[in-house]
Amino acid sequence: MKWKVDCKLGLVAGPAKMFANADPATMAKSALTQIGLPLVALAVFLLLWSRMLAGLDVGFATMPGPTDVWQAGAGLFEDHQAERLRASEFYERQDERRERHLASGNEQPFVERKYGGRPTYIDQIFTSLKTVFAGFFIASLVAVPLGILCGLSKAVNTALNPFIQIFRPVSPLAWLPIVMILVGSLYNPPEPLFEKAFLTSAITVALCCLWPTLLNTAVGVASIDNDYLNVARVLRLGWWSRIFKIVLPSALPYIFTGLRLSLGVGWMVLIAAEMLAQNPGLGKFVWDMFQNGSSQSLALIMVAIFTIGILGFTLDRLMQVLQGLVTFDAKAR
Amino acid sequence: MIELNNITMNFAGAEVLGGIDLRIAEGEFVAIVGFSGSGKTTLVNLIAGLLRPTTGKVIFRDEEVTGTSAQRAVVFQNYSLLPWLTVHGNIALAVNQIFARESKDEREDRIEHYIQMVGLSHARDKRPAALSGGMRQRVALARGLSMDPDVLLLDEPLGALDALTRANLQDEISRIWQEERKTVLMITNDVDEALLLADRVIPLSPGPAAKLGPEVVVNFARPRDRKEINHDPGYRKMRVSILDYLTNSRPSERVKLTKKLHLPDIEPEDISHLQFFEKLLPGRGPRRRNELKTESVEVAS
Repeated sequence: MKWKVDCKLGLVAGPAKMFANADPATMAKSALTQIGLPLVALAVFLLLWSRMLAGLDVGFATMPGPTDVWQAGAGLFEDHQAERLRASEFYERQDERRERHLASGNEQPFVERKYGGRPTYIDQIFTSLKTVFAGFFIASLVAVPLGILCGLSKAVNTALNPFIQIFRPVSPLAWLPIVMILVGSLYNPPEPLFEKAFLTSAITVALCCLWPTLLNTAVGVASIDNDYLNVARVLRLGWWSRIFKIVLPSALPYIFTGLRLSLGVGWMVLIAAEMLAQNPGLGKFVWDMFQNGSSQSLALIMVAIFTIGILGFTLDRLMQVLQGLVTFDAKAR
Repeated sequence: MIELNNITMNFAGAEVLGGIDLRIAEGEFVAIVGFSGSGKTTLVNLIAGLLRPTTGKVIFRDEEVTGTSAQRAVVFQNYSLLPWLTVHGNIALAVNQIFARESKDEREDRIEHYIQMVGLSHARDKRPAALSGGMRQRVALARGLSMDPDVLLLDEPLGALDALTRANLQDEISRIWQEERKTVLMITNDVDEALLLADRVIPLSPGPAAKLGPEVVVNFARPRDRKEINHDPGYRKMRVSILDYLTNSRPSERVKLTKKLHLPDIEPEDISHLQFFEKLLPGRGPRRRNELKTESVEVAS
């Protein structure tokens, strides 16, 4: 059983398959292909990149090669560590000042300050992740119940279908101005919990990654096995227990497929949304690098591209794991 | 206890059941035998209240059946276990719904009781995917019994099992029935199974418009032994009479030919049915036969 779960993790599915074979010769062979082939492909990719693209003159700079990008990435990480150091030093000094302030018996309360340094690349990555999960969460909160309604009732489905079909292909860039204006005019609390840019990006992400979950949930609920509904009828389950005990569990694999697709869409949309909404995440990073046009900025953008790709892949695998955990063998009943 | 009065059932114009009359008394074990596709499942669904008949009435305890009820439990043909629930969970779903008023411990006792009754204590935390066909059928049976219904409707409960498992489960159903003494209506395609288990066996003629045939009262003493009743002289008679009814009531099979016939190339026009518009609109004359793709002609055998 444990083995099965491991296989479902997917991340380790490749290597795990190798060890499933008992024969050492086959094992070695499959290890060679499983790990060797991607390595060969990577080598070819790096070679082509450094030979054909790197050093190409584009006016203000030259195209970066693999080593430039690696160095740029390392530089970003060093910046991050340096910034962290400065932050901790700042707070240490503040602690000292506070103690002195309290010791002096000054009447006025001590004013705590936050460190005002600029966000590092690592901070930006976390901002992006936070934003995409916020948007994804909002979307799921709307899409799953709506999808269930669509799947249960033909009438609801017929009523909503035109809207779904029309809004689904709309690009995030089209939503963004409207969201920006709405957030700008409606979200003005005295002590804002979220920044406006964060909210704008998250809502834009939500608007775009609503659809896969909505459609998949609707299909999952609509295609529920009639036998299960008959069981519910014979047991005379009420509406709510029918939803929670029969409909939802049986649609769960579909719903998770939808969620996985949604998160993928959301991650893609996020970069564009951040660029335009100036949310301090990866998208803004790419935009800023594009705007400042230094000799290093192309390498930095390449770092961002690889980061976005690797994180997107990780998120997808994460969802795949969750999906594997809720999937049951539908044939076995 | 159950009464079916001249039930007919049509699906999309096709008559599946053509006038069914049936009476089942309290505590009786009745088996209905028929070929697959003769409308047996429809009959069960009608009694369960999952379907409403086209004409006629299903009466249960002096009241017309208009919907499902926990008093009429169904064990479905394909088990219909919920694949995301364990054995315990599947039975708990039924028990928790029907005995919602009882305390948690009482309900737990019930669940365990029925798991034990079908001999699945060792598999109580397994999901259906990890069970064999026979074990799944036991779970379905336990779920039906755990509802403590007045009637248990078994829809070809053993149809998908191999012969050995089948014999095993037949003995088990026989034992459980003797313990519980519930009213049972079992649908099956196996005459021997019906004769082993039931008090009365009624054949259902093959559809369309299936009808119940003459019933056979099985009066072997219980508990019945498979071998013993096999040697009983009455056994073969009953078996033959049921099988005879089933085979003889098959609709005579007609030969149907589909081929192109060589006839004059003009279709005769039906002047009596000339439409008003066609009279007004000239142009479309008689149809030519070579515009037709095929024609079919029935030849009586």
